[in-house]
Amino acid sequence: MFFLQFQEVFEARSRIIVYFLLGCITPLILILFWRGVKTIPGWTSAEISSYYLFVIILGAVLMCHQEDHVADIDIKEGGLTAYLLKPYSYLKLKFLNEICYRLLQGIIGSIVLLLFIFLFPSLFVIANSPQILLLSFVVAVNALALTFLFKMIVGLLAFWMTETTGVFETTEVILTLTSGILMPLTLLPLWLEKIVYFLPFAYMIYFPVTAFEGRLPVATLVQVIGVQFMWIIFFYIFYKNLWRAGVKKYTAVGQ
Amino acid sequence: MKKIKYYFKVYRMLLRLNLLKLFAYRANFYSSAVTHTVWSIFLIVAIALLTSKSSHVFGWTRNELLLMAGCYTVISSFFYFLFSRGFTDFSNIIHFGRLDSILIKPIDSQFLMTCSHASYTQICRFVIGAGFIFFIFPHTEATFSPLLILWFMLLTIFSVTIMYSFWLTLMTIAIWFTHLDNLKELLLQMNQISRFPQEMYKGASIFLFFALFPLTLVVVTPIKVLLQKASVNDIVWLVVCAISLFIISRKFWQFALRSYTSASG
Repeated sequence: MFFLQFQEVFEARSRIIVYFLLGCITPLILILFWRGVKTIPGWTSAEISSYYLFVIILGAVLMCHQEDHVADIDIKEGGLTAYLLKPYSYLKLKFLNEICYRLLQGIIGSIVLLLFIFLFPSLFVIANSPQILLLSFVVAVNALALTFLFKMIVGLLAFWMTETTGVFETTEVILTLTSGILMPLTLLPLWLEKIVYFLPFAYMIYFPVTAFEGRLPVATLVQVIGVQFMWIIFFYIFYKNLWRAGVKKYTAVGQ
Repeated sequence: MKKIKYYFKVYRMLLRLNLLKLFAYRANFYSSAVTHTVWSIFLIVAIALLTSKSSHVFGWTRNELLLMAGCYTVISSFFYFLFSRGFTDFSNIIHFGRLDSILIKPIDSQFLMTCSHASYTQICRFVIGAGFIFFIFPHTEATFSPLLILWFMLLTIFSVTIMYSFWLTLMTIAIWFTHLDNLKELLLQMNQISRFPQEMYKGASIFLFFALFPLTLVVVTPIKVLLQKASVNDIVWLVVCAISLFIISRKFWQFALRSYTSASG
């Protein structure tokens, strides 16, 4: 099953490369932007560059984008019918498909990462303790599960809405502002920083990035993993309820 | 002259058709309006957050950078209003061989490909951008004069021409690589280059600076005029870049059409 999905995803490799490049542009522009700021509180120039390089790589690997497909192809055009007839859960099949995309983006990301480390070793800061690296890996895996479930929930909204672009774009904006894609969360105004830590989005990009950079001690990493688990359970229950209610509404005519 | 009049007449008709479509698909209209409003606010909020702990970036004050974000919103709203929907369908039209029917029409193919759709909901973007400019302008050191607005509007035409030429040149690649239907997404991201100070790219690499030079003029030159900091050279560069890029993109489109192989590339 995995290899079938991978084959399907691999067919679209040129598109995947363009999508990877898409994810690179904003962080690269922001690296240049911060070079014009005299002092960045709590960050050195190398750390901030490293932060955005990690945002590029981890953004490609961890940030799922299946919501458009779920809404447009599966729900609106009726593609969901084929899934409902299969002896596998829709969530599992979608996860396998998305994992293939993330894997391919991860391979491209790793090549770019190695290239950056080779060309600009001084611009790259990475955790050097194996314990922290191991915990960072757990944080990253949890972040992947978190983004996947969140995007599934967003996609399922199409059961109740005829036009979903507005909601998807709003979600994208909120994610960019609060997940750490735009800037490290510690550089946000204090009031906003406090709010952002209560939301699940920081656990999707910001914490995995800062974990790999070695900015988080073991105790904080354990705490982050705990909060991530809490959000995963919440999203999973929410998804299940939404799915149950949505399938009852689904008419499979294709709008 | 007769030909220009004819094209204006066709364009007026296309605008009317687009308006009818807008009223026919109301859910799409509301969704699109929400999208443009949210992104315009985001562009301004993003700069406000990025500069929340620094007063100067590359010699630009925080308020000047915010003004730049407002100007970018206004200039891009014109571009997106006129051309974004045309470019959205661009690669699909080529990929599915629908360019055939455009090529046999008694009208310029580039005009039909890029100008046949207008995105009315971009008005939301314009209103937010213009409103923000009026709010932030008194907080800069410049003094307001109606003549500055006229200059700004005039230079906006050249800025939009640069954006259009850049998009057309890159989208034309779809004639050879028909699967690249996400090129538009890439270009949307590349437009962002113009909403930051030019000096940013100069410091990075001289090659990068020259490669991106036309895009860096799009917002910087009109804003320099608003702030009364523009030199004659700045304006000349914008005009020369706009005209030469337009000619190059036109020639490139005509050259690419020779390689068009019809249905499904």
